[in-house]
Amino acid sequence: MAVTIPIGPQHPALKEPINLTVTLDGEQIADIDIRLGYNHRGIEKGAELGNYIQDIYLTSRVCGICSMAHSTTFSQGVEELLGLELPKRGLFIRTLICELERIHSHLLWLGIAGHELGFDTLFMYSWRDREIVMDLLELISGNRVNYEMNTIGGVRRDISDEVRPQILQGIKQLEERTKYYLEVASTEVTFLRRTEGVGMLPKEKAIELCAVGPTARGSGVEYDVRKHDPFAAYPYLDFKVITSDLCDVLGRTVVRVLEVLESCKMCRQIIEELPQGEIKAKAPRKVPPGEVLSKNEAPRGELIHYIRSNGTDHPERVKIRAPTLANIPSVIHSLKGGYIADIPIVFAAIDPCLACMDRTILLDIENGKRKDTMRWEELRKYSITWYKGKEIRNPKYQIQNKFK
Amino acid sequence: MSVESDIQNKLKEAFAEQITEVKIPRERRMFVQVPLPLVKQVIEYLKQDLGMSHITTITAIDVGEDIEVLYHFFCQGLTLSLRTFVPKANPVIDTITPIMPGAILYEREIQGLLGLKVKEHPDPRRLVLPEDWEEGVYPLRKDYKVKEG
Repeated sequence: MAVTIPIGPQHPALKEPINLTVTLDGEQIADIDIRLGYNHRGIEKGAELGNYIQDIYLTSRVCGICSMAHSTTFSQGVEELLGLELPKRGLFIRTLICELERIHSHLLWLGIAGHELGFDTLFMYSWRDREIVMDLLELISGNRVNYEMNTIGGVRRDISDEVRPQILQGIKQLEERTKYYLEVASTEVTFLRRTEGVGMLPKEKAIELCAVGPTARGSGVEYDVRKHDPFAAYPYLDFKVITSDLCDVLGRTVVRVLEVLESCKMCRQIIEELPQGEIKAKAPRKVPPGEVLSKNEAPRGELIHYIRSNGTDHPERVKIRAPTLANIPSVIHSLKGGYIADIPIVFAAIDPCLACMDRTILLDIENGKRKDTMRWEELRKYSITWYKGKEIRNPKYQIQNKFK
Repeated sequence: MSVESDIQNKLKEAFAEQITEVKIPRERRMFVQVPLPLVKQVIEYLKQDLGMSHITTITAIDVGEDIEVLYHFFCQGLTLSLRTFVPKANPVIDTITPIMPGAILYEREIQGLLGLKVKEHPDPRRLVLPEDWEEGVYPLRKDYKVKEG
């Protein structure tokens, strides 16, 4: 007998608001439906209101984890519209922050994956080690999360010779720890049992459903924007595209852990070969009319900004496609037929970032139906009616509605 | 011959003057303009004959009388954007989800935010707007003004 249960938007297993409506046959998932939009903030509309400089800071706030990926994609799009030639040192520093961000994001993910599997030791360890890269980011940019290193034409802060040995030391430590995690992920029996053959996404399906990033690469799709559509300093760097043919949660884990090692290698190369010179080119405030499609390999996969300019100092349209949205059809596919207990880890395996995906609620609502702000009582009432609508449905055992 | 001009020639060969404009701003980027009724046919051609298998996203822009729709594909290592114009008076496009299953969410997104109607879409529900959002209000159209708060 089929039972339908709602999970979220607020649920202990979810880190960010999303609603999964799961139809179960026994413990197996017969069907799943995902409702998005709880984090919609009107950023695309907001970008049309601000000027290009303000929009760099707005796009950094699309996501709290991959803020550098967003501002880099936006800045390099505008630079292309302006036809700016960037100084090499600026490009190298920009790429360094992108790679350090990837290390921090993947280690954060590894911790969450461990936690979802009930392996909290891994969570504690990898988050402790993630502090090393957070400290490096703070050392370079002054910030732990929103680094604000980008500007149109380059970067805002230089790397002095004094901090270079510190960065190299941090990377060495990270590399050692990551090698240990690779060993854990490939030999620890509990970890393997919970990830092998779980959340299968065959290669053909990954291609058909247009998966991106480590989700696609974990299913053997060899596509990485850094290699196949190179930007910033990636053409000068030596790195491999990591793929895995396992097509399950384990495959996605191995890809991410190996990517951290590749990133460490790239960071070291950048620090050792850092060219001398300026860190930014001078850019005008106004951008001539045109359009550009800017791509970046964010930690979660291919990130796209489409920017249209109109000759003024603010863009006509900014379209953002974050990698999580591209991976939703794939995660629906890999959840179907699995067990309810695997939902948290399979869902986490795409490394979902709902803030990125929903990016775009309005700053203000004019239609009179919704108030600008809700008082606590009103909010409570609203949520009770909302959950009533999503009442647990079971034809035989009608579960009593507790919200009266 | 570069991949860009190779694709351009093949498209011209297959669709002749119906392809109204081709722009290649730099390597690995291509913008191709086609009339609205031809969109599905071109996408099918790209998929069958040119080995395109990935849709990156769909961008829609309010350009006054029309809504400009851009389908971004990844094809033979380059990003090909297929451009078409849909009149606001009759903002209806055909669904491409049966050809490209990856397009399902992108079509739902532009439906809500720009008020395009996607004909025969398998799942035409709202994607990002709240459930109590007023029907017929499309926040990414230019006539929608954000109140300064």
